[in-house]
Amino acid sequence: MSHLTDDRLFELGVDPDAPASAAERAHLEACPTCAARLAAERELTLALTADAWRIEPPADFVARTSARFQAARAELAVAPTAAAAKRSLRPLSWALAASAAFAVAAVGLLAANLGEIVPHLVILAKDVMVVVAALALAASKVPLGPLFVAASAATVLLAWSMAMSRLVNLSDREINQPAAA
Amino acid sequence: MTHSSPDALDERDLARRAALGEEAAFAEIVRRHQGAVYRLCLRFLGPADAEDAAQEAFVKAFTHRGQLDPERPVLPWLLTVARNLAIDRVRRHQSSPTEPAVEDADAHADTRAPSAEHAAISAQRAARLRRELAELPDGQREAVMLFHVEGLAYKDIATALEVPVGTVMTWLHRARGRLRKALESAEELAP
Repeated sequence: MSHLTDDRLFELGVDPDAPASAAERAHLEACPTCAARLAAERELTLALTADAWRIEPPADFVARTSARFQAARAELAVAPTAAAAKRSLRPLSWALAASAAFAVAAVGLLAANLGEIVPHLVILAKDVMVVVAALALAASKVPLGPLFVAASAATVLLAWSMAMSRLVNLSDREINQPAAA
Repeated sequence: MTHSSPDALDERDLARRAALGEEAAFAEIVRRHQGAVYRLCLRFLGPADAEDAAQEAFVKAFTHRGQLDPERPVLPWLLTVARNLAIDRVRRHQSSPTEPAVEDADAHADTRAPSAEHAAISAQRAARLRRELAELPDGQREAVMLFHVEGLAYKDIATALEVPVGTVMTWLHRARGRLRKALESAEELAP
């Protein structure tokens, strides 16, 4: 029989009750290399399972840990309320801020020149609604919520730039009109 | 409402009751597993911080008791919580996680009365073994200690250390190889 493998020596070495086959026993009796290696494995196991490694915690460990449980329980009774309030307020403030910003922009545009930019304002208003809906989705933790926000924000930026470009054209016309007259 | 004595309960019942928030059940879990959790913290942090860290680990486990799965052994889960907490503390203190802690643990161990088994190992060889253990990478050292000292199965060690079972076996083989050589070299140096 050839030498015992590392894995087999490990198995026999870590478990003193692991049964060696008759062939393995015969080999171990005849092979000093394998016998020495197995003896070293078993000695190491003995050293590592010695009581000296089993250091116990202080005697009052359980009592002191239980006291900390009660403190943690008291904290838990308070913490969820505050956390829930924070959770419910944060998305709302985001949605409010976004809505307010777009409302101000829309009113500004409307005041600048209602008649000329009405078609663009309609587009902008539609996109604002999309953004608000997307923010609501994000706040409700729908997995694709942030994607909706990004896509909607891009659409609104486009509508915004179109509206601004229209305003610039109108202003140019107002400047040029007296000269032409 | 009446409950049978915690001692009469098997671990699964205990875990189920603890998961539902029964403090007495969780206290029984602490009683059963305090040693393993404390020793793990001791290896990472040394005696000064080990007790506080072990208690914090139990409190953290208690506050996250909803994650406790009564169908699985409790100890590997507790050890995962304790190990992550100990590693966080080591990082926070920016100190080496192994050498001083294990050396301190050894000093702690040396104050205790030696068992018959321990007495059989020469002081020089035991010291060499401790030094070599302290020099092992965390994973290898923990695999060895959880296997030999705590008596955990490969699967439970893998859960505790958050690695595949194959990695645990590799770590054990490598670590034992190094430790065996350390013992052999200590023997050669011995008078």
